[in-house]
Amino acid sequence: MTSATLAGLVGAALVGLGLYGLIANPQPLRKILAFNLASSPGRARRRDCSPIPCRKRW
Amino acid sequence: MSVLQALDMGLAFLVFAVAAWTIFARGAFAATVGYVVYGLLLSLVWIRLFAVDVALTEAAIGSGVTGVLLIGAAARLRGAETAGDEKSLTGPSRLFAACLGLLVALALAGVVLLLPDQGPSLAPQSMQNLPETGLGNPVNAVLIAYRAFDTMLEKVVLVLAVVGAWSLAAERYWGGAPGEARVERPEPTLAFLAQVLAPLGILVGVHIFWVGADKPGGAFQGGAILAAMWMIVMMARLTEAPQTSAFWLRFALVAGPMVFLAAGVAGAIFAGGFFAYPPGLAKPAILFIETFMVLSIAVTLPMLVAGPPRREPKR
Repeated sequence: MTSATLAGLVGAALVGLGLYGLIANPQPLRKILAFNLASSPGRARRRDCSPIPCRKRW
Repeated sequence: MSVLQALDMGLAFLVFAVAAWTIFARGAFAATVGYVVYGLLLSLVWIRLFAVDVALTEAAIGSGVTGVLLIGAAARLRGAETAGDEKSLTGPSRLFAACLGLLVALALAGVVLLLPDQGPSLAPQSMQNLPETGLGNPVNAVLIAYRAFDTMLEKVVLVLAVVGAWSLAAERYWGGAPGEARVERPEPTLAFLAQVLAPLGILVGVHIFWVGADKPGGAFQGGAILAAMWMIVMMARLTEAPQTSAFWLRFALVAGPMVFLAAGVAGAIFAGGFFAYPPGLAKPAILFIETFMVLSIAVTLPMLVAGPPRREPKR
């Protein structure tokens, strides 16, 4: 297994975890944290400028 | 298993464990601290994936600035958390949420495993056109040359965020300074840290900006480091935040997007396309734009963290 595949699998797990936290945690701040967690694996590739690892901006 | 593979596995386990802590921790404050640690670990993952630019930004923005903002919010919410706790989900709906999360994770994992080894790529084209921009770092070429309009709009978003934060001020504080007043005797440890770290940090920030043309780095990362240095000095209360009505402050906030937009319009007139750079002059033009962007970022992020004005404006 390459580093990239491993990172992809962890990313998939993180999205699931964040989605659970987004639904299950009632406080708004916890929801923000969970949402950030779920979005973090995909942040670098959210644009079509891949596969040059597009620098994550804001 | 080689050393690097073992390192990867350990890192993957750590990232997942800290992420789980962020979700399941009891208090919001503990969860927020977990999130900051998670951001730093994630930047290590990006380094392992040879995406140093992403790693730098993750550490500076994802963990650093966002972390300061969230910790501030968590500290303010501490009282409210115990007083009026919202109803948590009951057993069955919690189970449903867990199943949904698991399902999405499994589906994504399946997709990851099915990805072709060689994805469709624009990398060759972007490398091919790199000499025309005069830059050596393809990431920066994407940001400032190929997709300049996107980057300009992101800077506008940052300015809007500051306007949003300032808009939360009470009427009588409008134009006043955010944050606490400067004190006669700042807390010695923090003041010492600020005095030692700030000069070095400013040097590092300018360096990161300057090498961005050819190596990982650039305006955003350099600006974020400069911003962090200003934040440290303000947190140590060696200096106070400026009045939000100050002309230099407002000018610095909008200078980056303004110069960027002006350069885009100038491109339409002189180089035959919106955001086009004249041949041979691309690199000087890019550096000129980036200098003002560094200034804007270095001012915008501390102003976001300082929050809305909380003192009456001085005449």
